[in-house]
Amino acid sequence: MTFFQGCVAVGLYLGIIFLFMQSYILLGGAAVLVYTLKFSAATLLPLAIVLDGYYGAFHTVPVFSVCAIGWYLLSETLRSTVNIVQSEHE
Amino acid sequence: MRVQSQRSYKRKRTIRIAIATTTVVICGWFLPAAFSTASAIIMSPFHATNQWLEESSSLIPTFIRDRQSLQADIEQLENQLQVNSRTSVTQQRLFVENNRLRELLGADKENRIVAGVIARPDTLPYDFLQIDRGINDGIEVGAPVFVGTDIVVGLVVHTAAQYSFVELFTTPGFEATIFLSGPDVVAKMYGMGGGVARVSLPQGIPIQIGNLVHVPSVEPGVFGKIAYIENEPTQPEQYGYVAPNISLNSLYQVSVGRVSQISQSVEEIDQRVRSEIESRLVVPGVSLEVSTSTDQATSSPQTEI
Repeated sequence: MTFFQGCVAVGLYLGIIFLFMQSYILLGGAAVLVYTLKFSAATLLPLAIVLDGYYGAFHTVPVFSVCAIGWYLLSETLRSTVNIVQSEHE
Repeated sequence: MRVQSQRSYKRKRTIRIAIATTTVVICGWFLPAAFSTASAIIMSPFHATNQWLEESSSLIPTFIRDRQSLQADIEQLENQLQVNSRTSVTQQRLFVENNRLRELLGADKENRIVAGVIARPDTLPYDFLQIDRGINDGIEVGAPVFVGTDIVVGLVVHTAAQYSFVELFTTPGFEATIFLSGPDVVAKMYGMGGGVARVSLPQGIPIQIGNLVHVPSVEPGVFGKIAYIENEPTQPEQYGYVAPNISLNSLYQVSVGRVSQISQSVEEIDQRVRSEIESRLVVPGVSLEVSTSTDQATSSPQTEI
């Protein structure tokens, strides 16, 4: 990862935080998608847990965390599937 | 072989991360207060920034907030506009309908019956109307038929249970005494047919196109205007041709008055003609509001002293 990519990753990560905090859910979802494709969904997991803690969601249902775990599993599965197809074609 | 082991390693790592995260979430579920406190500490810089964005009066947050509030306002106003446009169309329709019905009913002056025109001169012998109200609705033979507030167009000549026939003033052979405003003369009007009546006057009376033709025996009763003048100096009479203001084909609702609106006595008709002449100099809407002070001055005994 270059310095520029690192800056992009940090900016996007902060953007995701503020978009969800400002209730721009759709834009936040789009940013999550971009971040997942460009980098990895694994780093979004602690963010989801912290956001759930911040909003007190652990008293009821930690929606962000559950969604983040599901999204992480889905994205990794898709990523490995795509890699398998790519390697078979190569 | 190496690819296979890499894949399995990645899969195992993914599963391990998912299990670890799930464990943390479950721990958070059991210790929500501790997680909230820890999250509040971690999020404190973001919280401060978020508060700054939401509440600060600096340029950027204000710009963002104004934009958001303006967008919300625009959406709300657009919705309101749509609702109002629909409402205004409905209101306008009801307003027009209300005005038309009030006009037809003579608005508080006398009791009239609204009737729809179901046959006109193109389907009936000329200068007759058939209306959809009859004896059952209180229509009487001889009752005047109005279009609008005071335009009288004819008289009911036949009534059945549920319909009636109206003979228009323009029916050939129909005679009526009219008062012609302008030259202010009383004359006779004869129906000519074809939606036209004729007023005959002696030579020398200055009639003009546009002079109003009143039917003083019907209250209120304006029939129409002089539309054409036939004046040959060699003839002893001149003729003014009168046409109603409204085309007969455009009539679809009329109002029927009572027989009592037709005056029977000559004195009554004379009185109406006189009052019509006497009120000619009154220009509606042009007056000074001095009556109150005058009344006070005359009624106050202190002023007299």
